[in-house]
Amino acid sequence: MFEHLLGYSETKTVLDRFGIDLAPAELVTHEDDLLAAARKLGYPLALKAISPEQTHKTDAGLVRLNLKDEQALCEAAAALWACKNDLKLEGLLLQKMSPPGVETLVGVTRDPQFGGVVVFGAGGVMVELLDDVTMALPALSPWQAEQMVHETKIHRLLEGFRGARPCDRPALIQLLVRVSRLALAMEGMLVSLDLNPVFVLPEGQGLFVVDARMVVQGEGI
Amino acid sequence: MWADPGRLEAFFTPRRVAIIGASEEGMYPAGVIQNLAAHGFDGEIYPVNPNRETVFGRRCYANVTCTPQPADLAVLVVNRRLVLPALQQCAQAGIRAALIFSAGFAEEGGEGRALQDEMQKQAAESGLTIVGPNCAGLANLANRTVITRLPGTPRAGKISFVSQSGALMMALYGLFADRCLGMNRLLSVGNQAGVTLGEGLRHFAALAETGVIAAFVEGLKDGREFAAGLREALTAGKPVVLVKSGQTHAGQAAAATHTAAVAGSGRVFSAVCRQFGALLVDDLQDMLDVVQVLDAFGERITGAGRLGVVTQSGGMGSLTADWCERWGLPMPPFSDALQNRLAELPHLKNLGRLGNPADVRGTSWRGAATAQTLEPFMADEHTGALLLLLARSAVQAQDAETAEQIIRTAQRFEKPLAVVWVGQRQPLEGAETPLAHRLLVEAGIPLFDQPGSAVRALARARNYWFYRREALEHQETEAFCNV
Repeated sequence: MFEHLLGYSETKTVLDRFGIDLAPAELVTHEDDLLAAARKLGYPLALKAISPEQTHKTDAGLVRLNLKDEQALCEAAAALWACKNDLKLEGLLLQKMSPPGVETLVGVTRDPQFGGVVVFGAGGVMVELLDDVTMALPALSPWQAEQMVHETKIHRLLEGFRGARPCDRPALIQLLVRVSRLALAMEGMLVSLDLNPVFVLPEGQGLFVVDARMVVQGEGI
Repeated sequence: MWADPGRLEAFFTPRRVAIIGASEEGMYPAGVIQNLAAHGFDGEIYPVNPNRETVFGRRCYANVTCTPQPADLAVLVVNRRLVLPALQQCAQAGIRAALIFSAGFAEEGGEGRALQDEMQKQAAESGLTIVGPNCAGLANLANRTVITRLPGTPRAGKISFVSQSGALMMALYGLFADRCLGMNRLLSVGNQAGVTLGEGLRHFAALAETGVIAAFVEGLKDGREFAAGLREALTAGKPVVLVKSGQTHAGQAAAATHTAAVAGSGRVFSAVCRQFGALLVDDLQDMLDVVQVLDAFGERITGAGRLGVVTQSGGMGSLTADWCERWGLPMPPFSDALQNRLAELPHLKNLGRLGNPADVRGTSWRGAATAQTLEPFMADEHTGALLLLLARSAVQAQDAETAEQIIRTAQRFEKPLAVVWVGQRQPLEGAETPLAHRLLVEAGIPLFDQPGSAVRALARARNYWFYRREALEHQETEAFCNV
């Protein structure tokens, strides 16, 4: 059956429904709205070209990070708008830069035998290289989510490795539980979900879901 | 959503079995009926075969609809082209359960696949439950219903086993029998046209007389049902020990997301086992090792968290300590009370303070001294489980006496005791099996050839019960109703 990648707004709508928050961001579809959106969010900012045609944005050079002021933002935006000619561009996503945290991945994949499976592990652009992931069937209880986190090596970073502050574990557990509910509710429709990276911030500060990619089966939601 | 696994009861407790295709030749046509009778099935057996008057002296019927009373289980050992007509006759006779040995279906593809599809359709229409096709049958040793080919006299017990492969079920049964393990129900599901491996697990999980479940898994028909089986077994406190073949990584390369790229099928399978506390092991002997420990000790094996190791050889002791560290089995020092008691024994008093592993010299395990040496360790309340490491002597009769003393002492205590006895297992110079080995096995004392196997089995069994305790403590409803 037909599979397709959801756009940013559609993805956000679905995640909202399950109480999964993306990092504070504004989708800008018109050049004139850029600076107003930036003022609303506050610097430093990340800027991403959003296109359903691109799987891995960083690899394709469609991401600009750590833009500290209007000048940096305008330069980056100009470069990315220029991609319009080559790509089907949904717009530019202006996103608040994540404070420092541990980079993780939370996702859902569809196994031919088991159906939707929740995945957790070390995130970022080197997921395959680090290969530090664990899986479980939805729905997860908080305890089962804890078990998953425990099975990974990155769990030690989350606990505060070498004097670093421990991360906001309850926020991570809550995210895993919510993603597992989404996986169960969308069984049969959801092909895969990638929340990557998810920055887990120090205790009490929550998380930053920086990027979300959702592939569904059929004509959409 | 899934079939009620209670429907398998018809296969394991039939009163009147019709064997369609029974004959006096052929592995299954002759073997099934002979085995069923030989193992002491106490219901009616109706051979069905239009070409015969009798089969092994039993009156043979032309059709399953003409038996004196309606059969409650049909067993098909006919050629594949006769299967569909036979199932139609089963439906006419009001039979609701069919065990199909016949091969040449989905496993062959093409026409076979089409025949199997037709079989499934027909079964669904007539409300018939199918086990098979292409299976090697099943057995219930509690009521001596052996509808497969099993050698020897099976020992009845608490272990149930399910696999797809028929040949493997029979071969593995032999390995269980070698260790004198008591079996409850055996099931080979073959092509899983009706009953799946997952349903088999769910059936065993709900069965009072099953205590431990073993499974050999090739492919799954329905992963979620399989997972439900594991979950139900965990809740019921019946450990599941699995071996899985064919853990493929197909489809990973082309994945569109990072998540899909790192989540290979084999990994998902092992993650699901972990999630529901099932013990996935690498190979057949590993499975038997841990099944044996689980069967012998039940939840008492949690005592292995305070494991005492007593050894006849220092080298074996330190090898065992290495394994214990690797597998996370704590070996606390032996208590002062125990040390004092040991110091009172004339043959031990010169050993000084014993560490754990306790290196207790050779003569302490010769014949009659064995019970005296072992008793204080077994009686010590600070030691949760005991692993005894021995080296085989050159004198068979002496080892036999040692074994007898071990058995007698072990039987006086609830404490789990396993034995590693290193040395030749083969009979010396064509003599019978070494007696000591046989005695321990028959007494149900887990016996191992090497320390690593023993420690792995003890640790896995202990891990299971710990995981289960934790899982039940945190049994949030949403997690336990949604698999």
